[in-house]
Amino acid sequence: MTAPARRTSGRLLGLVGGMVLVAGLAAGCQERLTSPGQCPQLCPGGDVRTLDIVLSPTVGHDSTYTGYVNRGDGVALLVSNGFAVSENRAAYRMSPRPDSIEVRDTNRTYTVDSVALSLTVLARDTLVNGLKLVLYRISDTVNATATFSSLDAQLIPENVIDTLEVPDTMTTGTIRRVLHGPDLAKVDLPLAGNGILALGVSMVADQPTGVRIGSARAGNGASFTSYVTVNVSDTTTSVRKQALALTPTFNTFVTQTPVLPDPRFLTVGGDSSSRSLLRFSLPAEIAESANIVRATLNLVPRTAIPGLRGDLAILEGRAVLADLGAKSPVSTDVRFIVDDTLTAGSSDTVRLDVTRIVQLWQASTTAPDAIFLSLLPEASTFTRGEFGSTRSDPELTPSTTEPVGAPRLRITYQRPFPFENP
Amino acid sequence: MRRSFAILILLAMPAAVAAQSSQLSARGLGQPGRWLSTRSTATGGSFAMFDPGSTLNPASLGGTQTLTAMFTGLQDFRTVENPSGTASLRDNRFPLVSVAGPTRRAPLVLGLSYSNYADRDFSFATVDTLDPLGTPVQVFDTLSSRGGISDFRIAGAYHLSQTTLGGGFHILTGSNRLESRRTFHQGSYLPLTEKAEVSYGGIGGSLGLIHHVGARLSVALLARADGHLDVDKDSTRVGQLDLPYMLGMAARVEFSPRVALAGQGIYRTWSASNSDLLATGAVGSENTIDLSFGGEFLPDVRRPSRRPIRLGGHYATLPFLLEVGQQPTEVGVAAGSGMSFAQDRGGIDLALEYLWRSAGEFKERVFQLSIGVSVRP
Repeated sequence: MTAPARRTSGRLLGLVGGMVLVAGLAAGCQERLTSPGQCPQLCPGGDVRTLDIVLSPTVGHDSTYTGYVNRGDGVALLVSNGFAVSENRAAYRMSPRPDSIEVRDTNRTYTVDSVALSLTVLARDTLVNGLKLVLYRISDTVNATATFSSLDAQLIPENVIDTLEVPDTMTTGTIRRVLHGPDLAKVDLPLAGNGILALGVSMVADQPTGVRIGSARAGNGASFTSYVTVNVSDTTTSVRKQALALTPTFNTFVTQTPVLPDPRFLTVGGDSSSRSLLRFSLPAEIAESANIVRATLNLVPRTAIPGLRGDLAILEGRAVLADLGAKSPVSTDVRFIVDDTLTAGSSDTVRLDVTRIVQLWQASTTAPDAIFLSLLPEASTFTRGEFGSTRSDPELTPSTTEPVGAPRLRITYQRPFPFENP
Repeated sequence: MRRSFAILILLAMPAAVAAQSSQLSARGLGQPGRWLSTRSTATGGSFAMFDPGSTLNPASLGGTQTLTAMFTGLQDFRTVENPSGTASLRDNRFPLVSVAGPTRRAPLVLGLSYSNYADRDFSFATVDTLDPLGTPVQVFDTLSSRGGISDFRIAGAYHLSQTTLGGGFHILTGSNRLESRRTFHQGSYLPLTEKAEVSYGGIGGSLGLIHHVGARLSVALLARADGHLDVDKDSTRVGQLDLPYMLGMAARVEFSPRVALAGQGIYRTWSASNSDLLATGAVGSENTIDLSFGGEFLPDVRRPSRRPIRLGGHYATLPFLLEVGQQPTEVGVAAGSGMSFAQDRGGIDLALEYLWRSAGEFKERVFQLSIGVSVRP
């Protein structure tokens, strides 16, 4: 090999070697720093200490308040028959049907050809078959003062408009029935009257049960549609044949034996629309410097939670912004609103993750250490939560006659990591 | 103008300098630096007291013939072993940046350098099972630290016949960014991250001497004192830490124009920090010794920077203990070479080093690649 050839091959070799070196460095220029740790040798400062504490509400300062939502103002009405939880009937008062229709600047009378009535089923016990909703014509003066006895007295065979059969396969949906011919007399609204139709609703089924039906508040209450022929010489179908659709201006449901909250316990939900306020006192050690990693509120039911089988209710907890008793303002920040489902028939301890709320207690100098509990939908569900309080806890109130454990706030927290200096 | 521009570029390079990380750097101030250029690394550190590129001995600046800027990069590949398991890790560092040049009217060389005094980079992961509220929950913890202490040196060397005297003023500054993270296997527990920043400040001074005994033998002496380090945690003064005195001695023999051998020993009184460390809950510290020996072979005497062959090894004890009575040790062997180009205006040095570190059951093997770039504008 000649000298220039050797130099060329040497340079080529050097170039290749250099490229390999650069490629190796580029590939190696990545960091991977995490290695297995071994305490205490490789744990400067020590290790993370995780601790637990269980708090009860301040004795006597866990309270139940009622009457936040009136019956009928909720998103559903309750109807039941022989149901152990409660016996309910519902009523709708429809908006007035006008006695004439304006056609070409002239009010004209009309003839009713047929009417359609519909109800919306929101929840039912799907294991109970043969569900039928019975519609009655009741006094058009029905209002919020109606009682179970006053309404039930009108739900007699003579007042039956129709029976709406709910298919066994249907869990939710709308049931519609059209009346015509002689049946129109059942919903007749004389011209001399106020044009208001009021409906009472009861139910029957193969077994005692209940059903939740739509309400005016939620926009899915009963509907009353009249299909009429306008007395006008115009033969155009769209002019002569018209429909008058009416919705409820008022609705309510009544309960045979309203359950009033027992002051010894904490109640949420029910037709009394109860809420419970729990007040705690966070220990200084946690309030000042602990890092809370989990906080769980445990509630012990007094009995199996009453409600409609398969119809879930939501137990909601909200951070309290100021402790003003029943009128305490609560947080609307979704970070400080927690919820969980409440299953009818369950007697297990209810656990609510309230970590963010307890963290708020730490961070805020104004927010009290309190949680407001409610049950959704309010005044619209058969479900009612009744839990032990500090007054029923035998450890806190030894004289209690019906011992049920008080709420427990279980906090898991960590002390600040003791970073070693240096 | 061009020289000034080149110097500015080099000084603007990453200010965060650090040496190799190690699991043995978890305690105290971490892993002490060795202040070696790539050339000295290739000889196991044995030529450092005579090497103008290394920032160990201020008198070594006297060997600078022309304005020179140096930049060193490190890439290491580690296998870590401890009772909790093993892991393969890697990281890259930039442990030394320096600029030095002779003055025109006096036999004086001045230099600035930014090097690593101690490095505390680590990240440890552990798995444990806790029993909060009586229910076992698996937790994953990570404790990590990033940062270290840098040594900004202003130094000069003065030639006196056969002797060169050097002195340096050191500004020590830096911080550790510490982070503790815990995550729970069960999602209902919130993960938690805590952070702290520990910052350091101090000053020190160093004196060095290189004396040529005849034509072939040179000896070097070094003394350094760094006083104490002020320690602040999250901007609050939490204490002081006494720093060690350092004494060093080295000898270099040129057996021929092609072959030179050198040996070096450095002693540091790290036990000065012991009481301060014990007060913070650390395990403590002990004095250290660093012994190195190596040689350099020049294939082309007329161009000594053209592919020299460098070999060396060292043994050192490390100051900060993981366990009482178990001082960490480090043994290393190294080899390297280099080349210059553009009429010696630029140069690249390369060193490969293999290290064994241990402290009882805590061991690691490190393959380390060091690249030094020098520019003489």
